[in-house]
Amino acid sequence: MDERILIAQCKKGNREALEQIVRDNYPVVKGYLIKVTLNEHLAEDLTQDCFLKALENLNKYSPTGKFSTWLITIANNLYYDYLRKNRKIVLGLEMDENIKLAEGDFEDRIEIKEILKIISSLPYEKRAAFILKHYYGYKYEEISKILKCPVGTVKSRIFGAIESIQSNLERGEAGEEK
Amino acid sequence: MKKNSCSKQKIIDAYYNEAEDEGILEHIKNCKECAVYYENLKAVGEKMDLMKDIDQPVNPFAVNRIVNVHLAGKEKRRIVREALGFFFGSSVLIGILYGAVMACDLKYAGVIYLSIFLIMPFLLIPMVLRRKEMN
Repeated sequence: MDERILIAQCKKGNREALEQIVRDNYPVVKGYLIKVTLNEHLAEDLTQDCFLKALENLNKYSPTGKFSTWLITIANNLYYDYLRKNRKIVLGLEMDENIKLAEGDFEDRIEIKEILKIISSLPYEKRAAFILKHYYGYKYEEISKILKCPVGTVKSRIFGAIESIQSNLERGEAGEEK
Repeated sequence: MKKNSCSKQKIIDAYYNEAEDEGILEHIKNCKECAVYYENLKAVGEKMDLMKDIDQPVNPFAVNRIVNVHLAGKEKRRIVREALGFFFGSSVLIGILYGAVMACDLKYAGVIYLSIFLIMPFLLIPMVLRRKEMN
């Protein structure tokens, strides 16, 4: 079903449409949050809060952009609020080692864990900008709207993230060679 | 092109198909330093792509919970709205009728008050019809 029709049905309170729209966007939102938070339980909680907030404010959604972009903006605001409210807890927050990884080669799984560690070493602002660009292919303009910052800042954050990732990977490879 | 952060930024823009300068790809082909940086960027990108594999299946319990909580909240808000509408509507009506009683001959006050109590339940009819329609 077309997304606009689905949203119109959701506004009327149609249960099937609501389930459909949550089911369609759930992997995108949770996938984004798990990459940003690196914590499966926190990502799950924030995903549910994100959908509840989105459905409650469905009348405010203007169908100019994709629905998933709007959801990611909400998810990002929720995570930002979480970071502000739980500054002390977040400082002690470590990467969740139990993040579910897809079936694959053992080597791939080890590499994914290394990548997760590299991503977790990035500050939130750089991490979010890089994830939105690299994994979701958003334009700089769209990222600036999601993260509420100028396009120039988005570019410099992505640049900084890539530089850090590159140096981390090089360091890792040098360590392996030794 | 000097390999400073400015030129690197342009290479990153080109890698993500956001280059404003269309000649940048041609330049990368001809400049050894930039070509190396571009290839490194591609290698980093490929490595980072492994994280796309983080499996996130839809949790049916979570979907159900989200929809249930949303619909329950919506229903609660609707009940509060209707109750407020009822109290406001009946207050206005009682006020008007009370005013009318005061203005009229008090001989018929009992009849008018009785009429008010008979009319009041009819205020609920539109709400009951709407609820039936929704169900």
